[in-house]
Amino acid sequence: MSEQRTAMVTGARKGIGRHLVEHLLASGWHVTGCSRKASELRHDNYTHFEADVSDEKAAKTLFKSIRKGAGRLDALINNAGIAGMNHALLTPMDAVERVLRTNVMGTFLYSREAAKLMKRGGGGRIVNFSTVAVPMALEGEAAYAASKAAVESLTRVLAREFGSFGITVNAVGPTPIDTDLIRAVPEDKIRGLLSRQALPRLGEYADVTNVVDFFLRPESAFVTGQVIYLGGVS
Amino acid sequence: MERHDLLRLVQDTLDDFASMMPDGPPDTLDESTALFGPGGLFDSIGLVTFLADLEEQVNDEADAVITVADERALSAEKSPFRSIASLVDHLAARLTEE
Ligand SMILES: NC(=O)c1ccc[n+]([C@@H]2O[C@H](COP(=O)([O-])OP(=O)(O)OC[C@H]3O[C@@H](n4cnc5c(N)ncnc54)[C@H](OP(=O)(O)O)[C@@H]3O)[C@@H](O)[C@H]2O)c1
Repeated sequence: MSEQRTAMVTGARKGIGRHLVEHLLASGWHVTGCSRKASELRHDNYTHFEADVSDEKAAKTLFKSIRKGAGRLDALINNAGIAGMNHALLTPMDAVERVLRTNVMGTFLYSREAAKLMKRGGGGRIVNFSTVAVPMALEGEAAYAASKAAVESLTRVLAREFGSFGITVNAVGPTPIDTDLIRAVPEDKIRGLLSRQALPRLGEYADVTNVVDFFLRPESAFVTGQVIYLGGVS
Repeated sequence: MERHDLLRLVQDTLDDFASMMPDGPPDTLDESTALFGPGGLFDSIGLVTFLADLEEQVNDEADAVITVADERALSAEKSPFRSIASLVDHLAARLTEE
């Protein structure tokens, strides 16, 4: 079994996921990432898989290769996510299905497979991704907010189911951050949203990394089933 | 993998799980040994953990990616997880389908 701490980051090609991968690599982790398309990131300690997080067979193949390679998994960051920002009256069902498959089923599937590997090593950390759209009940994001509410529920239930294996399960809920995910949202809508936060500014990658680091710290072994929102949203 | 290889794998994995058996490991272990329910080796969490581990072992040895607790297994009238024999048959069937 490898001596190096090993993390799996989903949705690793760009945005927050890509930043998290670079941050973990800089902190000395070995990182496996996945996303539907190939990654341009080249690093001795990075392996990228082209896998859709809702594809069960692909997930099993991916985790098997981690098991046979590093033989351990210390952290899973369920970052892959898509949004379908539209009024409910104008949201097609295949868009709803895509959002649920990626955000909910992807988080469930990767958590399940990761837990099998982590419990062998005596424990691990799972960090999920919610959003402030859940507590804010943001209009225009019904499917997305509902999918992330499901992720929060998974976080709490899995925290209980995996607790006895030494695995913690928590979630971070970012405010809007300037990535492709929100590029299609009109500026005045973003401004309106920020004005409802206690700290009315866009989030930065570092704000997310800070919360993820907190969940991953050895000292956080007694923190599980929690959702931490950024920007003073509650 | 042949049926007798699967049986050996199940028995080896059961040996590793002796500490999770509420009544301790049985004196004799054969194909009719019940895995759960009255007189069974495991409680529900023990069975879940055992099956998860077994799935990894089977997939590693057979170089496959089967899911042990799939929809059909969970909704079957007679659970394939009731005894060692039914579990081995279930694994053999899934590997053949792969
Ligand atoms: N940005 C924000 O304002 C914001 C706010 C709150 C929460 N979040 C959450 O933060 C997470 C990351 O978002 P982001 O802003 O970084 O988004 P992003 O820039 O759009 O990146 C999304 C990442 O996920 C991957 N991905 C999408 N669908 C996938 C699938 N089915 N399987 C595997 N990978 C997939 C994408 O790569 P491929 O295209 O190669 O698949 C990409 O690497 C999401 O869970 C999102 O909900 C973001």
